[in-house]
Amino acid sequence: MPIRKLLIANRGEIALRIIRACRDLGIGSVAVYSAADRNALHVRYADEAYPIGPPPAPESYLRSAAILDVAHRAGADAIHPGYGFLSERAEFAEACRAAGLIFVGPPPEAIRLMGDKVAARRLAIAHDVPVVPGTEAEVQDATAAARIASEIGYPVLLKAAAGGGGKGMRVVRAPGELQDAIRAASGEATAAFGYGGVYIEKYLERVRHIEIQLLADSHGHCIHLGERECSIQRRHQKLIEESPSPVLDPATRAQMGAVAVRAALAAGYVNAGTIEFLFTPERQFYFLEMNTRLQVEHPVTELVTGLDLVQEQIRIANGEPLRLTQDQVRFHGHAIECRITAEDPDHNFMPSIGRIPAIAEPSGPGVRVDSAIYPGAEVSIYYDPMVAKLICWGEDRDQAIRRMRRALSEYGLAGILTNIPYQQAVLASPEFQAADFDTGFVERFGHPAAHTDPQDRAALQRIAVVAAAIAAHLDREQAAAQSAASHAVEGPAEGREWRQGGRPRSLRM
Amino acid sequence: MARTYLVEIEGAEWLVTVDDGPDGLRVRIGDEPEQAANWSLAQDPAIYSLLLDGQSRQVRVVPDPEQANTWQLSLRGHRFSAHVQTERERRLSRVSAGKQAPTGPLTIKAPMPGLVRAVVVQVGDTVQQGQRLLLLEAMKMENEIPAPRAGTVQAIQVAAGETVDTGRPLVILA
Repeated sequence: MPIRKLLIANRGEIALRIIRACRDLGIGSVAVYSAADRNALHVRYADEAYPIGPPPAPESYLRSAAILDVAHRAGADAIHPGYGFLSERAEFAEACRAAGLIFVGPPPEAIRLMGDKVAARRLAIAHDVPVVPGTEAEVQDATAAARIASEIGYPVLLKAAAGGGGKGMRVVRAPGELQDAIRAASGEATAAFGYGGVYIEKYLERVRHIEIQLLADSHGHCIHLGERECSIQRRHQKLIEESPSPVLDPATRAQMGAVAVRAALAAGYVNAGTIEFLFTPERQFYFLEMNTRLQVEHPVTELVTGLDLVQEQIRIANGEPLRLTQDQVRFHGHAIECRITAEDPDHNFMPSIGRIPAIAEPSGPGVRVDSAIYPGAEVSIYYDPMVAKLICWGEDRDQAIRRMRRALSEYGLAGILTNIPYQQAVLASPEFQAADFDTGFVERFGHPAAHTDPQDRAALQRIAVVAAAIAAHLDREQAAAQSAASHAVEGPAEGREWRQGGRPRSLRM
Repeated sequence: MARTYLVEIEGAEWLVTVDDGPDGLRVRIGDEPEQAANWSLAQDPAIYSLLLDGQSRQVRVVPDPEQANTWQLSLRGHRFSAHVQTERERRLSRVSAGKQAPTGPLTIKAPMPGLVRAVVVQVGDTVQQGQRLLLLEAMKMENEIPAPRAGTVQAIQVAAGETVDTGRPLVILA
């Protein structure tokens, strides 16, 4: 029986994204929320919404029993996990199945198989999918780790066995850094996934991160929707993604697509999924891992294929066959996504927390904003620092970049610091524009101010000087007027014309 | 009433005269010709539209919560911090600044709420500028808290495993 009411076990922009797909399909939507999200848009835009606990994710968005309980009470017949949180936990998909609910995602067996990085590697090797040199098993202790690392050769990469999204990952360049890195990676993995196991891989230099989007139905069909280039990353968190990759030719795309489809079919995969590859300067590609969920960056694929991936996910979960064959997949133009995060690029991307009193969102030709923030929204420490995604489409890469730069210049977010200046600097750089980058780009790029055209900066500085003088002037005028008004009533106060460095009410945040 | 301001921005100093006449604000930078400035609160709070002789700019201006007479501005994603005073105010502030001790122990405070994962220095350690002092976990990522200047660790006021709020003293550097 087709899905009639879908529970979204997530928050933020992705919850809103899924609710919108439900609306488009005429399906009812059920939101769940933590106490921090009572006023969130996903609560307000859903047909129904139920509280599931206090702000920390382990006490709310990760409580599968509470979420299943809501599903029953609300009469939902399916659950979409979004990304993060419970999306790649096989036990959750299993619990949904046991409760008679459709899980909008892959079967638990496929999540478990591909989520176990070691098993996924074995599967890849068994099906002639090229893999990066590394361990077959998790590291058991520090001594074993040191031995394995020196066998593979530094630099090595530590990865969380249960991981994804860069959490619990560390590059180790020298033996002396290994112990600290294992502790940090394992700690982060425990916090993020509830499991601290890590394994070791060769760290390849100057590689690109290119991933293939897949759709597989429950009738044994699987197609790919081309690639996304995700090389602009910081600490393994993607910052900018685009499709198509500027370096892939149709033959390589077809080859990588075919390899990805083969791996997914071997894993018994159903629904939307992504296979990540490392792509070397020698144009070799290596299987990295499979993400058994909808990706943050799925909109770039949507814009170049014209498909709605969440709707396709729901159709697949309904048991419908794919509506497209591989030959019918068409690519049109170029799409870029910038992840807008509440982080201060001037201070090593320190999280910036606070209330957002005002927002000016970009729009116009070729611009899509996937966001869940609103005037008055609070960016808290409890969740991911990504507050919005800005996605721009152009008929070619150049037009997409120009539109993205225009859209970023329109984006106003008051109250918090964001990485927008950094994104602007990257997009303006000759390296990005020439697509001359790899996953080490951000580490080498440095401070955004170093990449700004000095003439632009000087012109803006002039405006800032004038604006600051006007603001200070009006501040003093207002204080003087207030002071005069109170003198008229109370008589003159002693010798103060106006407050020094006062805080005018009109400007207070 | 016309006033002249000393605007310090990125190490440079500008002299700006602002006058509100009957036709609105007039602004003069240094000895350049005077310009008409139309200043309007375009979006509450603090996003202003500035028309400077017809040139349209949007700018966000808020007072710096930490420092008096300082304004945080952002234009097209570029951020500036401007210190603005009249000459009289500057003379007064110089007098009072002279009375304060120029250096002393520096308290490093938590820049955000989070969980102290590890303290990687000990009391008595000599640290370089930029050297990490402790690891603070927030938003599921570990953030290194570096020493803002070189010094000696005089006191450590938190322990690993502790949850801290913004502004909580973490380490004191002598």
